[in-house]
Amino acid sequence: MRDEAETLFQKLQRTVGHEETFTDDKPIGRAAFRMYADAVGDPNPLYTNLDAARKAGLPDVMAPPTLLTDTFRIYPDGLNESGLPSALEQQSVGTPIRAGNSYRFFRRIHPSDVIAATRKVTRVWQKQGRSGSLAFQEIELSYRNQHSVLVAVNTEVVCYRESAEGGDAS
Amino acid sequence: MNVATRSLQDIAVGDSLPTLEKKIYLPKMMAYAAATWDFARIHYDAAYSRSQGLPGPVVDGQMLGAFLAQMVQQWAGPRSFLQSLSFQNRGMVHPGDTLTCGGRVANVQRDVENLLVECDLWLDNQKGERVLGPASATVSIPFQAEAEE
Repeated sequence: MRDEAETLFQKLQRTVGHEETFTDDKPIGRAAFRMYADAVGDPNPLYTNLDAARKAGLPDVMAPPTLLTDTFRIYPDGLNESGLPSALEQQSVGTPIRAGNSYRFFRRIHPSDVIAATRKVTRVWQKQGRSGSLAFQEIELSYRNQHSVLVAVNTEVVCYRESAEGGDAS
Repeated sequence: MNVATRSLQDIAVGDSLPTLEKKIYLPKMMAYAAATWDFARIHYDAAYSRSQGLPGPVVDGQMLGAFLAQMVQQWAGPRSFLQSLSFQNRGMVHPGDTLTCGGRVANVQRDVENLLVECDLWLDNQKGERVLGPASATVSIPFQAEAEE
């Protein structure tokens, strides 16, 4: 088991420093805002109602902020059998469990914006948990709009159990 | 009630944010997968989830963050801007769970145009177990928001 954990951690270590930029192929669109708002059950009219948005001083409806930091639409090449973007397979070495996220938002997103995200694996580390060794991977995603303006940063940490195989993310 | 119905001067450390309750069910989880293009099978496929050693489908951890963002923005009003949101996932959430989001004002600062409010946040399930936390957010509320009321 110790060898298995070490092998997994060595695989994770090889992902550190990997950086790639993914650019969406179309504007994010207002339908995306409604889908997300419906899914989370957030009736905020700023996401769907133009009159409400203008009354609040906005030029158009705005995206739910966490839509931007959780969207996989930027990744090309479709999905693998686990339902994850094929484009991320090289940086996923097991079955991760989400440990946490830290978002910073700088600008609102509107329907005509086209998003690009730079994804970088920033560090990995190990920790002894109650059920064995755990390995952690920190990933920083920086989001820019079509004017190359930084609009948000998402630093996320995922955790791998030592016996994990496959490729799912929570 | 959001801050548009009260004076920004009244916001103080220790104030509680109105709680937000969320009932979790599978169609919402599937809708979230579609809305985020995140089709990881553990979020909607019960048989697959069990094959991975899980008791059933697991809510996407970032969906829980969206609930906290909703609570903070509802409280802060339509002219507010969510500057940051951080959270640690502590427990899994499954279909059938009922979640309660809570928060408290932890710090208040002012700049020229905005009130900057830091909040401590948390999210508990129906058993009283903390499934998200520690968590925090910073939201800016322009003084203009109050002037226009």
